Amino acid sequence: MEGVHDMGGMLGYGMMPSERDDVPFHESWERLGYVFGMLGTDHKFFTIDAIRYAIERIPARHYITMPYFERMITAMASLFVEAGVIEKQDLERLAGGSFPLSALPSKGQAARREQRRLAVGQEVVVRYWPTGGHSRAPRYVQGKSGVVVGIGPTVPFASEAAQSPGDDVFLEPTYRVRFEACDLWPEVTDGTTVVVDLFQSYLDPSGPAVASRP
Amino acid sequence: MNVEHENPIPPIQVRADALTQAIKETGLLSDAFIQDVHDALDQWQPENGARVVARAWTDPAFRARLLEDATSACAELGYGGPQGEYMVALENTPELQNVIVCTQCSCTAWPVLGLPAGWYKSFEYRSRVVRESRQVLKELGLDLPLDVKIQVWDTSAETRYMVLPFRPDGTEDWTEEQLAKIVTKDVLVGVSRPKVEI
Repeated sequence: MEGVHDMGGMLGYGMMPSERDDVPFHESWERLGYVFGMLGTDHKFFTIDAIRYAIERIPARHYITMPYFERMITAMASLFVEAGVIEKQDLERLAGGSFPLSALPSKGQAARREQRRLAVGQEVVVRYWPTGGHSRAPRYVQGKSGVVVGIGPTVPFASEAAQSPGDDVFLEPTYRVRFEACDLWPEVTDGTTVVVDLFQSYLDPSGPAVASRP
Repeated sequence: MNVEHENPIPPIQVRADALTQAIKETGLLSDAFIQDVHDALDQWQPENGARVVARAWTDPAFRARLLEDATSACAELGYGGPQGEYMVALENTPELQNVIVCTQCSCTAWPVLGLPAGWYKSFEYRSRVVRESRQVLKELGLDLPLDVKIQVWDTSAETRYMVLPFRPDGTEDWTEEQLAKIVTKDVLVGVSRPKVEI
């Protein structure tokens, strides 16, 4: 989704904190996000992609102000309501107040099933493919050129998997595509490179064809 | 959505409890399941990744296997599972620093890095490290000279990364256990280098 969560390369977020720790949890309720996630995926109410999408669908005003685990609980509550397991009024009754949920999903992209496999060394351009559905192609590489430097696993296409826990989801190769940071942002001059994992449907070959090994 | 007309929103702890209660009322969620998940979460620690690195530093054949297929190499030490199905080790050199991020959410190789820390999931890190990597590393305490190239890896599909740092000078006679102690979560993400206290 072209949403607030897709923040790679955005300006204005400020300095890293001067003090930090590396523990994942600071309050006991925070672990519940993982409990609900595993419960829902075990029962095939939803997929991990659907969890990511439900977090993305939290209205931007809440997304920005909610801490990480509040976003996670909000997304889980939304998914259990959407799956028909519980009802929003039950949540509000038990919580004794308003219980904000994610906005409803919209239909995402289907995989481009006719795509041919890419080989390491192939130059590619990332499609500009705006969507209200789930997407894993960060905005900062859309329309940009890069080179395939590695072949990732073949996995359920994210936007289809976000909508269906079923077996009809298309399995698609993923690629590790390297971009020169100066091609993404002209002010970068120190030779930094960025490697992004991208589904085949997001990529169009450009430049000379590099033969894929069978 | 109209802000003025919303009822007050209870604190998130209260909402989390309400969600727990609502699902428990359906009979789907037991205390035993909650405990099982807690136990699983506790197994995913950066010390696991540190042991993988220490083994790679002391066993060249293992190091080769780790770089070829990190998922199966980590499995040799007993590490794997959710968010560790497709792991890749990124090899640092004195001239190259690999750095891991997930700009769109918080993806991490749970079994070897542990669940992500707050700063890794912060909007500051997610938005900036792809564009201002050198400055962000500096703010995190790693001031790299300009002749060290930075390569940032955005975890945007199903591959999960760990950084394999280079073994620092002065550790030639260290045991695997000693070596593992200087490999922190920050080192495994790539925002720090192993430090040898002299």
